[in-house]
Amino acid sequence: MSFIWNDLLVNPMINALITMSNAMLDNFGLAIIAFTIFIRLVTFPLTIKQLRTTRAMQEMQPQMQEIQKKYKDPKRRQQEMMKLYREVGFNPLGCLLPFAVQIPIWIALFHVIRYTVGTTPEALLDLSRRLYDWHYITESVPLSSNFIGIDLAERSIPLAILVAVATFYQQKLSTATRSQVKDDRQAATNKMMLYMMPLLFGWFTMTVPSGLGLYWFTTSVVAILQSYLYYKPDNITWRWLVSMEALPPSAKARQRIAAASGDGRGASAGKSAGTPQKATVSQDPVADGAAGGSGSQSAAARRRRRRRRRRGRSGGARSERGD
Amino acid sequence: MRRRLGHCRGHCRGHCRRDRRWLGIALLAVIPLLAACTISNDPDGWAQPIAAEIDGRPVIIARVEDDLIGAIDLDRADAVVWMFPGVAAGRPESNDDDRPFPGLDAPVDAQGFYGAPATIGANDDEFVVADHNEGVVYAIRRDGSSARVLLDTGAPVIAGVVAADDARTIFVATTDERVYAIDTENPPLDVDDTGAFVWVADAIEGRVWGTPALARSEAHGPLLIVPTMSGHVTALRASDGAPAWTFVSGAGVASDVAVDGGLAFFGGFDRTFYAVDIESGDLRWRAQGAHWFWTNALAVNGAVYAGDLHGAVWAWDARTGAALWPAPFQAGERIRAQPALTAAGELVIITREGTLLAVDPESGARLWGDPETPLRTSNRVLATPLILDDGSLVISDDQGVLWRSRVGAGRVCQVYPERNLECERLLDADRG
Repeated sequence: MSFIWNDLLVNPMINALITMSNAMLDNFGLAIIAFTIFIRLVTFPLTIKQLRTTRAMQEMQPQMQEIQKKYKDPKRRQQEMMKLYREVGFNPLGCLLPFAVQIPIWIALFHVIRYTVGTTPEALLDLSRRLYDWHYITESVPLSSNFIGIDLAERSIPLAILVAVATFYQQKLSTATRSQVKDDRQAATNKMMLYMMPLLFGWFTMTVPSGLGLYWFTTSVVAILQSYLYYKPDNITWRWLVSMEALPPSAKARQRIAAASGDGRGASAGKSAGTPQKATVSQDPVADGAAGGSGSQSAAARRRRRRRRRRGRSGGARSERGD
Repeated sequence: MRRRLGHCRGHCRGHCRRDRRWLGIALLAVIPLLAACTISNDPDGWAQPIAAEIDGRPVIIARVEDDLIGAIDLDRADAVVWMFPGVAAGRPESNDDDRPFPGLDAPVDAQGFYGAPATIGANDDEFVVADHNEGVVYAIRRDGSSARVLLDTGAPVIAGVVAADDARTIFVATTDERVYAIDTENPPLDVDDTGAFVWVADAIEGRVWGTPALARSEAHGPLLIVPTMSGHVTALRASDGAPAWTFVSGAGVASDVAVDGGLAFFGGFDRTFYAVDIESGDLRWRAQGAHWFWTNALAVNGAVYAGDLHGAVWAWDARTGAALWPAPFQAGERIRAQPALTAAGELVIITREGTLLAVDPESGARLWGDPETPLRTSNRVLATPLILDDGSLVISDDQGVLWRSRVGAGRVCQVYPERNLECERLLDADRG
């Protein structure tokens, strides 16, 4: 295990980071930024898979709520859920697996920067045994830790604030793109995460060398960009950016709601008027944007239409079974 | 209404499960980060123990118990005479840990003493130490009755404090690329109190980690030779701090500078060991190692000895740089501690893993330490050992534990904080 962790993951990353720092004219800060972006790009296929699975889960929310509403027996409910998953080709582990694969890489990157910053003589001594036996690498240590006036080996309060702000927007975008259902508990959880995560990461940054803070800031900014480019929310406004409010429904979302009210899902929503499900569709601007925003029809949109057609055919029978 | 409430409860339960799942995933991400953060990145320090006397009794001034500098009397049942900043001599112990050390205004959060204590005063009245964490230089009275702040540098201090021949002026080199010369009888209030310094040199190119060395130059008078992590080694005139010369090596120099016979010796991260002329700063000779040089060189009897982080110990003729041994001695483990020469002429080497060895300084042949059953301390050793007059080796490990051994003996005994008297009895019997 130690071999895999150190020799296959951490040590190659350390040497790559030092090489990158050399290539960037001994600018360790730029190297951290470039290396973090590089790692995020390398893990992008996993990230995109995770985003897809998350979106697929969002799209299934109405059906999932319907099942939860109809079937009181947990076992039966579970069976129906699994059936739904099979029908739409959804793998519940699809969200967790890419995440689980990425976690060791992120932690390794965290350790790599911690080792490479070398704030104490002991840390630099530890680093020495992780370096490849190349003059180009061994002679470039210790790295210059000054980056735009910030000593990357020391703590930095401005960087901690930047990390907190970036984490806040990452969290805000993630919450906006994730939360379709507006019940009190979900809202409370989202709100807690929205405020707690920036505070937590801001606090972390204040307690560790700012090289790690730079990594967190970069990774948050890249995550924001990845989410933004993937979901393409078309209704983000300056007002929303500075407010604490949830993302309001876009024009397209409102059109979709109006359109949906005429099909199977609309009928279903109509039946359960007054339940939180009604808000489900109206608060899904991002998915809406993805589904109807561009001229190209995504696979998810096609899947959704197929599902609606299927539900139109079999919905009555299922409803009978459930009741 | 009841049905609707029932639905809501079911609905909430479903969402609670999802919420819990999301929270679980978030925790999965946060817990390893937390764990990673809690991995200690704190400085330990590797101050070399020194021998001293307090009230006519021999003591060892050493880094003990992680973050303390202590005076340890090995002949006393309660070995601790004092511990800075924890236990002042003569003060009854109290549960109130927040009491400042006598003479100081506030409790000290010291962490990481790297340099060996320096002594100042006509009768070596005070020990001077600098701590990494706060960057503060303290003078502790020999008997441990009080302490005072000499300078708060505001930057981590790794290099040891150097005392001038007048036993009054000290030189403090910091990681913010400065060197301060301080009159310890009239110390400055802070770093901005520039008028109160003997001088301040802020043109040092690079952070200073290695302890500078004082050398006597015919052309410049006393010089302070300062190594830096940028590879620049600068000689400052001890009288006014003006630079006399600068030698630029290939990479960072973290080791202390050793001086002997008109030459300054140091090794660097470019795996090269240098001998530089004290008068001019010209390179006299250089030799290639197998890895970084981080041990302080031992320059004695016309020879220079240094170990590298590949575990090789090298010996050169101090004048010419010619290798004295057919091949470097291979200790097998990385070496940070400076080699030490006993009165009997054995070169003692201690590896980072705490393995004790001795070699013949003439031939480089192994004299002591069986490679099959290595004799070692429980923890890593980064500090240079102290050799007492009776030939005992005193070793301070990275956990602040003190050990005693002797070249040729088959054991190494813990003497502080727990003392193994039986082990020591056998150690002394071995000697007999």
